[in-house]
Amino acid sequence: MAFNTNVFINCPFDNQYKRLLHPIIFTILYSKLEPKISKLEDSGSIRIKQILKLIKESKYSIHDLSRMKSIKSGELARFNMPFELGLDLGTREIGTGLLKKKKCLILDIERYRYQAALSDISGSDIASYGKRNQIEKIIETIRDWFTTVLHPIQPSSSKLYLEYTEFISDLQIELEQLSFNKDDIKKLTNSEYIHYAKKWISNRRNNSI
Amino acid sequence: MENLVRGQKKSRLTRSLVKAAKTNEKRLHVIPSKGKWGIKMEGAERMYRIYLTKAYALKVAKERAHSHGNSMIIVHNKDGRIASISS
Repeated sequence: MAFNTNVFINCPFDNQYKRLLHPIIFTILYSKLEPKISKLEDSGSIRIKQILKLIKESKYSIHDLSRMKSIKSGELARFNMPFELGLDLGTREIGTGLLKKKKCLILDIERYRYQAALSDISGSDIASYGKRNQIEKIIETIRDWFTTVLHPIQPSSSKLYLEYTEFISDLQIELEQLSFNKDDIKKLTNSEYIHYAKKWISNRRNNSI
Repeated sequence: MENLVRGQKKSRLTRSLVKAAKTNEKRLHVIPSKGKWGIKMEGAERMYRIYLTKAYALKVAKERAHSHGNSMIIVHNKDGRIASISS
């Protein structure tokens, strides 16, 4: 059933965050789960309805609150992520049946920063990925969470990281051979990325059997 | 027309990625890892060697490529993406 394999991802969707979103998606797919991202859905419907639909359809969710604090002076903080986290936690609390089984992982750059801004989420699964080696750390954090909510036996985080680096080099090499320029590569949509990652992982698995 | 060309490229890309998912043992990767730099043979589940600097890791990778006939060294940047390829 799709509910049991869907993972709702609540994170920034700008180019700067893609460097973290891509390893998140890869780790989810490698664990035989299905990433669900609001931007993949039909842009014609009202955004909050899309988000609530994805939340209701997903047993698992990953929320990155790192943009709660603005990066530059004078820039406003982003409240979409804490808002969507609230919707997700509310759905679990108020919902019935399968919705009671929902699990979520909350990510931030700093370990206890949420306590100052969003102390009501104390007691949830909260993890930090720090400011250095973020790609390895974010893969490790999600992988470790899967060992508790999914199955205790998961590929090691170092294997996942190495597989991820091989996939993105294969993707980049093949894109360049098809005359995709750097701009085309940057503009690759999340649904394209998911499609290619799925194909690569599935064939990697078939080849290693 | 542009969409058609892009569509054709996508399906070619899917096919070539499927092939690429098979490991190419001739490739060496130089990869950032926990603040250090590692050398990895494609398909291996562990780093072959880990060094403090990218420059030294690349030097060792080149020596190994020369002695073992590896045809390509892929150097990754801190985002994991390809910084350079030497063949």
